[in-house]
Amino acid sequence: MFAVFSSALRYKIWFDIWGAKQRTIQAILTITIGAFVIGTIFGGWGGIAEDTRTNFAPTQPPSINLRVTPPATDALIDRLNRDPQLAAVEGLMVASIKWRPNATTPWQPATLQARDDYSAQKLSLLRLEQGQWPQGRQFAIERGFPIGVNDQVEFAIASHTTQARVTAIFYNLGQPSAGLGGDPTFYTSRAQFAQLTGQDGFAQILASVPNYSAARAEAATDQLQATLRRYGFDVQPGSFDGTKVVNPNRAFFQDPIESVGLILQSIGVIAVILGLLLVYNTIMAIVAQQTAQIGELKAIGATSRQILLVYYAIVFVYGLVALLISVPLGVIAANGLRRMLVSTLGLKPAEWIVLPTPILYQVLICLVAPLLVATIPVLRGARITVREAISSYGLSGGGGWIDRMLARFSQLPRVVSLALSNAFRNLGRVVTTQLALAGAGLTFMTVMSARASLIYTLGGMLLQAYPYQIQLNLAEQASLPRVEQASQIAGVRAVEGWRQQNATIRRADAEEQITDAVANLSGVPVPTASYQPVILRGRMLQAGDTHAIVLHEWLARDVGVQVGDWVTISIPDPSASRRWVSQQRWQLVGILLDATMRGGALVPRETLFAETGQRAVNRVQIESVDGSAEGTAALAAQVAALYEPQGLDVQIGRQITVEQRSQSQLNNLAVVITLLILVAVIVAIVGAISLNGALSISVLERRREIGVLRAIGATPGSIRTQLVIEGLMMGLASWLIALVFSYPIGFMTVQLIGASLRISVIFQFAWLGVWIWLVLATLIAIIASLSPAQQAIRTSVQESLAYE
Amino acid sequence: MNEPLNPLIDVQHVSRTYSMGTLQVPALKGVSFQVRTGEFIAIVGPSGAGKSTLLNLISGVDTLTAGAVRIGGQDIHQLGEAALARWRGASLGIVFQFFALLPTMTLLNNVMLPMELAGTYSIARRRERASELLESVGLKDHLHKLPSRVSGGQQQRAAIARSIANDPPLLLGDEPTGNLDSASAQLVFDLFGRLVNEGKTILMVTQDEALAARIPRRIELSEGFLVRDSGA
Repeated sequence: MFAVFSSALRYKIWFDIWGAKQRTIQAILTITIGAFVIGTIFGGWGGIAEDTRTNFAPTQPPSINLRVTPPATDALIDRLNRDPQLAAVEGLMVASIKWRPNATTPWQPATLQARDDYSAQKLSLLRLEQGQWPQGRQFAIERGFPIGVNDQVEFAIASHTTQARVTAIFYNLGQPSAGLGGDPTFYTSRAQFAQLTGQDGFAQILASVPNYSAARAEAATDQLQATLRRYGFDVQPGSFDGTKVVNPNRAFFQDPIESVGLILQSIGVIAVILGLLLVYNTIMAIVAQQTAQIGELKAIGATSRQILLVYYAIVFVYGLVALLISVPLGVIAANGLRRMLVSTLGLKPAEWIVLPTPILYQVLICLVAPLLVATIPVLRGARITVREAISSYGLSGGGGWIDRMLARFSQLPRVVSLALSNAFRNLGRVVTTQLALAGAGLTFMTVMSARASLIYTLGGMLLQAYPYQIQLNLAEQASLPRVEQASQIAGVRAVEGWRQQNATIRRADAEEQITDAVANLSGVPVPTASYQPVILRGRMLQAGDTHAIVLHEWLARDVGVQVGDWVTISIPDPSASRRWVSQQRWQLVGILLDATMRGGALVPRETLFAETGQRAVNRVQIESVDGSAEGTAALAAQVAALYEPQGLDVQIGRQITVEQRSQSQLNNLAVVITLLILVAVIVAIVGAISLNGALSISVLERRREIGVLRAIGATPGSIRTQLVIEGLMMGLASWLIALVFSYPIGFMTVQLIGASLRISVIFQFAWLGVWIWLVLATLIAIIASLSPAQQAIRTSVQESLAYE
Repeated sequence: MNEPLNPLIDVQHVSRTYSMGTLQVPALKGVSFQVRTGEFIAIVGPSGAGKSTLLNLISGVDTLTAGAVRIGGQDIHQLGEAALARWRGASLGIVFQFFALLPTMTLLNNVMLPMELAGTYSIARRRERASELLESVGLKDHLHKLPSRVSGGQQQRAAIARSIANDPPLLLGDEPTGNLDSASAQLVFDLFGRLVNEGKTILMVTQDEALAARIPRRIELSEGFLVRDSGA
């Protein structure tokens, strides 16, 4: 191909590229945008994986994570360390505490951790960011919170409060960062921990297995659990996501991040395809426009291969320029995106990461794909015979079914029928332009529906599911009459006490396994007035139910049960005097959907009381008269103030009200939603360029025809009107096509997003997106048609008439 | 022939030079002549003589380098783009060698188009008039056909019907018979004759000597100069 650049034909190539600057810029721009998007998204996500690996691997993540009651002794940890099935074992001292930066702010939940010796950590290594490892009465805090070295904070541990000075900042990758909304973890020396909490044992045991494999880790966990139980310990999952066996090669955030990346990458691929359609249209138009030239070249001895190479060379130049622009821009944008997301995840981003794979994709998109899509029009052009080529002259085309149909609507103004006819004159190009423009519209509408669905599921639906706006978790269980005293507070409309209980769940016909799912049982009054979730299948609990259970959708999926199936629920004995306080068969009567209740299950409160042998609750649901966010937050503080003097320790979280929980969930997804909209906007820009390109090509092809129109009296205004109407026809047609497909495609996309984020998303069709795209499509059509219209008007009538 | 007092067309010292890079190529060099209403004029000359350039300057689709073209007393090159287009729509009919009918419109719609563009006649009358015009050129049975469905001769007759849609006093033909067989060319020529008899003024570029010989006045160009005007 490169030989053509040294032949006389290079002048023709140069003329075709330089002489039609607008066409060249459009073609280069669309290839560039596609390659840029791919470079940014693939580069960004590849960089995130790289950063995750470099940050995560050196922390020696455990493959076993258990919580034990009572806390384990040093002797036990030493004994486990000698177990040949385990590579390393380390105990953590862990306690839930409350903290506040000063006496004027409310208490907030936190975790206090200690290790035996910070300088000899074995697993889930903490990194010292600032200060020194805590000794004596010194404290450290996880980084990312607005507390610095030498800041003073106040702790409430059990019934005591104590002042603490932060002397170090730690970096702990084993738990959600401050940026992801996690509560802070404070660290102190072992001696200080024991003094404050009265516990000198290890409530959490981390372990790793030699030569990790999932099977080896499961077997080791199984055996470790059996050993611990033999020694009289209750064993629960220690990982914050409710598992005992952990893959040490994957960070906890990798699954959702990769899923979001996959969605964005798919949209990026759409942008590339839309851009390539314009390349196809452009080459098709150049070839069609130069049919006579091809004939002349052939007549003087050019072979089909030489002609093929001329057009390939043009496409190659388009791609090469696009590559030179998109690679550096893609690298810069990918690194910016990576640094932003990686910082949010609490990792330390590398300064610059340049990965070969995204650049290879960009090379393929810029250099290979355009040549491939150009092959059909180029081959068609190269194969044309001399006779065919030189016989095309004058005004041609028309006579298709659209023209025949329009001929019947003779009442239509001629300018309108001409615009209609021209808009759909070259059906091949109409199809490719519509694919680009309707594809952009479809992507936009789908993204808007995805956004609306996420907002509804995590916002409106959540508020509907929880008509009682306040949820308070109690540190210990309390009798119903005690918690119901809250109903005496002015502004409280109703109070409902729930019993929260951790348990393991498996199919009734399955054997107990270490990987059995954990169920967060909620014992609710039947019927409950404070919770009305969406029931996907089956029914809600009803009067008369005893061992009936309603499972969260994802829990039912993990356990592998359907409505009507039986499950075994094992409730651990908190006293650890026996393994289970209850191990019963329950029948699944319904499957519910709630984005905030993953792993949750509803059971009748009375049955749970009977199974656990305690008529006590640890969660209070309160309905406030004042439904405002401020009103409910104020009421929650009043209720806490009522309970605490009576010894009912309320675990005040940052999300007491449903409104706050909803907002927190939406905040977590804000980046995803913003990225989706950003990519949709890019796709819309590609669509606009495609329409502009198609109209420009159409004007070029009809230059002579436009000249005739002007010669018989068409004013520049009427030519402009005609082209704008053409653009509008295309824009509106694309809107209609996108509208037709927007529901099914939107529905499927939302299901995919839900599956990747592991939340059940209720599909909401965004009519707002439809109307916004109507306005955008209209604007795009008008803007995209103005420059071709100007181009048509700018050319003199004489030039237009002389045009070949 | 004496110069008319109020000529319909007054071409005065018209020159047109095209720039081709650094090269200046003169196409017309100081051409002057006048045309009275109702004249039928053949513009002849060898290829490259400047015939089409002259026609383009008279129709205002090309710009002058020097001189003036007055039609009906109006210096048309002083008009703006839109005004010129409106003037062309109302006062001028053009017939092209390759018919130049819009391929996506029926013959009827093609003839209605100039009336719509110029805003002449009522909506109902436009349709009626277009039908009458097409009928007058022998295309009564082809009103609703697209150009691609009729012969070249029929297309050219439709183009003539289109050129007189707004009843302009002046018709310009750029080799209107150049792409037709002799029978069709004869039909078109007869049509022009009929229009002249009805009072139209026609300037027709032609390379057909036999046809030109039958036209009352002959303006001959060579290398951009007016070398002979039989009416002068």
